[in-house]
Amino acid sequence: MAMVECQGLRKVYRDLVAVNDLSLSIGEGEIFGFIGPNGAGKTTTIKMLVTLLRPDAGTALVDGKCVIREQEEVRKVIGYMPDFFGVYDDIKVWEYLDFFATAYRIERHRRPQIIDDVLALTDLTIKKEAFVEELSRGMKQRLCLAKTLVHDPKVLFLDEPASGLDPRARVEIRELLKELRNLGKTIFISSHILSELADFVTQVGIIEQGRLVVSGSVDDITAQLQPFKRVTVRVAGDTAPVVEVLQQVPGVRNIESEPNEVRFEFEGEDGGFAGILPALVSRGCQVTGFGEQEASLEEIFMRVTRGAVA
Amino acid sequence: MNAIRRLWFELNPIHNPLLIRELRSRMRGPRLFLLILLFQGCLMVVLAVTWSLVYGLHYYGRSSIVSSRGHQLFVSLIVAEAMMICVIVPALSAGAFTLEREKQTLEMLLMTPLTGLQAAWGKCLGPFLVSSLLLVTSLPPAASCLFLGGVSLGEVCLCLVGLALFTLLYTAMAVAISAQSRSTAAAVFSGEVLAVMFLVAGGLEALAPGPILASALTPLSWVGRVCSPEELYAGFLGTAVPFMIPGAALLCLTTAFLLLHGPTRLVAPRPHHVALKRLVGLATVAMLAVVLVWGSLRDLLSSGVGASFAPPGSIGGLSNLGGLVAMASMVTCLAAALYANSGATGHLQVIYALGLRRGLLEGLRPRSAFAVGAEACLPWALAGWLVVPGVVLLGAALMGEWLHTSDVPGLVGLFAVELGVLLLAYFIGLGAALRHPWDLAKQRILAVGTLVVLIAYPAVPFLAWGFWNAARPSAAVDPAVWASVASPAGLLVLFACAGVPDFRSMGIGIGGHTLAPWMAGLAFLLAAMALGLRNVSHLCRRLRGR
Repeated sequence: MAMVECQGLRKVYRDLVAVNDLSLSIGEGEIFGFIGPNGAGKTTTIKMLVTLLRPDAGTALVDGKCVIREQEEVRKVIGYMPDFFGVYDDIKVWEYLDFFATAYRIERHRRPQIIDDVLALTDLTIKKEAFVEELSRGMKQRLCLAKTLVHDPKVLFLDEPASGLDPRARVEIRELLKELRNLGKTIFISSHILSELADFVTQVGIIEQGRLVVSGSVDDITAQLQPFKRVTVRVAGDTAPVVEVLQQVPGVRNIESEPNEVRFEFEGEDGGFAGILPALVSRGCQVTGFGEQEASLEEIFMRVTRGAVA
Repeated sequence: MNAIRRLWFELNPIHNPLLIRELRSRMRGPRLFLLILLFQGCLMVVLAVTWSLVYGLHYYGRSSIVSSRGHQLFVSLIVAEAMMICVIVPALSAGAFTLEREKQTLEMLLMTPLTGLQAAWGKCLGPFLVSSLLLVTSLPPAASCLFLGGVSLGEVCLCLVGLALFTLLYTAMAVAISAQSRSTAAAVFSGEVLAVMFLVAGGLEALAPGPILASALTPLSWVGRVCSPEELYAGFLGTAVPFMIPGAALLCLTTAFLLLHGPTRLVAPRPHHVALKRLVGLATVAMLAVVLVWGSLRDLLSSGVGASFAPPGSIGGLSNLGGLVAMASMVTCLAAALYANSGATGHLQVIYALGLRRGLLEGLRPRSAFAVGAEACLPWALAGWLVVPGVVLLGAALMGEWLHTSDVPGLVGLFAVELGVLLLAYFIGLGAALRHPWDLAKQRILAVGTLVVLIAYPAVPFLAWGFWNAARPSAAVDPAVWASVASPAGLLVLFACAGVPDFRSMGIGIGGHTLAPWMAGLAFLLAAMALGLRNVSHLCRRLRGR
């Protein structure tokens, strides 16, 4: 069952079309990376999905509930972390969480345990009695994530959760997201920093100028956008015999030779690819390394976007 | 049944997270306690001055005017409280929704299942309880009046209930404004202006078809009834209870707005609504201004000036229209000075933000320092508001011969004092912002603290004189001399404690001291110019050196 599903979503600000005909579907337990340059329409899309903005056209369902007609129901099953957020002055960390727990109508006797749990999950237990405004940026980010979790939502919408953080805090947030994935949450996460998402998202959508350019699993998109393999062969000694062998293999092209390394592209059946290494070894080439170079999310992104901003 | 249960849940303060958070954060730190201290301090000053005046007037053989010392003290206390509440409450409540928006916490709040009713109720109840705490702290001074005689326990209770109802009205009004404002500064400004206009808009009473509605709309009229115990009791049901109507109506209005339009409107107000709001705001202000002038004129031409205000037991009542103008403009002047002050600090923040974030500092000329930030213009607009009705009323008063021509220079001098205070407030704020460019809290404390000292310092010799006079009744210096020389605070204290005195019947007249307010005004203006030059040159050096 799709946890998040939208069809033909559209939002216009005066003359500017912020989101245009956006359709996507995210299954339960998926981690959907929503990628796009600044101003592409990521935040507008998320705000429509979390009921903060009313779409001008199209439909959107979260957990089967309509974001336009069943706003209250949708809000119960989602947790939203905005890209920019502030904290209240003069209240402590546990009081901040207690505030949101009360707002989410969690019974009073259950609140202390829930607060302890989310603090432990976000590694903020030692800051329970600290004042919120005294926390570092990374801790505030984790606290915001903790408040997003107090009502145990099924779907999390995280808008640029790691923006403005130092590398360590960024890694901590990433680890936290992996833990949430293990808890079975469906996560919709937007970012313009691709390395943040690359190693744990299961699905990716790339948006540019308000349009969803491409969407699907990382492997599918890679196969779709790059039907050939990029291979690197490392050898001890001369590379000329290797080039000679490769030139005879059907499907091999764009051979580049450097000292101790040969790079080429292969397009064809897996069977043909499997025969290359034995052919090199049988011709006496001293192969020290043979491997396919995987297309990174960054490469895919650069290939499908044109650098234009909505 | 379910609907009743739901309503009970939504109105139950224990289940309202906004109220709990508001009380938690407000009770922490020294701010609330400083506010209570300031409130108490002002009440003490009012009581002390009234006490000395009561003794002084008694000695001068005006004992028939001062029927009872306890009663006179109590009247001063209630008038002072009504005025302070009018200034403090909008400042406490107008940030209800705008601060959430400015601190970027509103979206997270709107994502919770909190209903519009809960949001409006929580936001209204928090500042209301805090303001009520101020009223509760005024019980000991009220009790002292009780011991002196001339006022009963019932009167004290009725007055406190009445003041609490005013507080609820102002809070609901400010929260309603906040729900539709873009910035806290704008919301506080609108709330203060509306509250002050309600306080002084005697014309509304003159226009109103019946006494009940009239009393409900004009707090000063209600306060006037405090002076006569019989009227207070007889009028309570006709005054305090109808007062609940506008309060409750505004609360409902806020709730209805939140419920009907949904939270998305709060996130992104639409342009045509902004235009509509401005239109409604302008129409309201225009209407109040018209009825103020018209009502006063009607009073003037028919039964005598200030008939609607005249507290029966006060010193001559408000029989001097000039005094009414002076009092109204003084109260507004203090609010405007505080606003000018925060405008200056906000103004500088804008300059720094622009300069540092967009690299505009190099191209920023010193003159632009005064052009950036529209809020800097608002104090001057307010000054215009003070002057225009002032001139109209003065003209009317002169035509009706209720004001002696010799009083006019004195009153104009008073306006000069106000202008000086406004300018001074602005430059003090600018100086504070320069000293602590990144610490808004320090800026505000420094600016407001300096301003309060500057405005209030002349009250010290005035007070000293009062006590001296009380101790040595042979002293023959008139209090009005000191009050007019002193400062806005001095005059305000005088007016608050005894109603505006009938200066001419006392044989002194404002015109008798024409030079005094002019000298004070000149002093404030000179101080403002000196401070302004220093702060502006400092700002220029800073902008160029960065």
